[in-house]
Amino acid sequence: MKKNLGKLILNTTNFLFLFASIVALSGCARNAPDLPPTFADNNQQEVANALGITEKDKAMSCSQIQLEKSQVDTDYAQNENTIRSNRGRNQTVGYFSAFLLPLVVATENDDEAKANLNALQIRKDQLDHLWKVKSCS
Amino acid sequence: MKKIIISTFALLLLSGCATWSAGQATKDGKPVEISVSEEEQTNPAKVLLVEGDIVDRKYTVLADLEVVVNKTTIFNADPTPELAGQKLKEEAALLGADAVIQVRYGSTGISLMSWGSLEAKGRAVKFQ
Repeated sequence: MKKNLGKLILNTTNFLFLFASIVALSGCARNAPDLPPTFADNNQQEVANALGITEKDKAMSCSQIQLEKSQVDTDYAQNENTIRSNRGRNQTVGYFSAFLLPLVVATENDDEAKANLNALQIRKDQLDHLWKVKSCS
Repeated sequence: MKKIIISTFALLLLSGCATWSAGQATKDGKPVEISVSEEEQTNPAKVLLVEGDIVDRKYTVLADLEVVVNKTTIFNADPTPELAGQKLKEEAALLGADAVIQVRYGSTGISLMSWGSLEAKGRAVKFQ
């Protein structure tokens, strides 16, 4: 009887630990950044305000916008690569943690790269908006 | 023994469906119903996928799309941006859209629903 109770407690603990681990790991997938405001439905000033475009940004020339767009794309790709390279490791840890749960702490959550990607997406949206408003081509 | 055979069979069966996905269309925060007839729906293969905005053509916004592609089991390959893009095209085609603009992807990782989830968002538009 005592042995069965012990097993039950152990199983419940394992289950709770597994559940807590999955919940903790649920942050691993980064959500797609939110869409910018609809240009077609708002006036330029409203969109610019919503996107957080500054007066300094508005003064940028098309070539400056183009240059920064390229830089943002490069930085974006670098941060994506960081996350992608850790994904293989996280998956391997995921496989083995099925047998040895404490291994889940070895996963890499790439919080910094994810935050960078979100910030870069906001800048991309700002530059895209400026590109459109200034009729650059 | 019987359990092992059944589990193996189930795993193999599920592995056949490498991914499963879900999508939703909203406008101004409200769900968009599919109100176009089958004839008005576009071919998903013809729907353009653009990461930025379209500046050389006027368009009408139909809906904001959000899709999630999940891998079925831990052993399947991770969902790719191409798969998520395809799902965006399918959702847009149902609304009769010509293009999906402002396309952006999340990063593949573990979610509560799957060992590998990838989210994508985009705006379905129709050219004027």
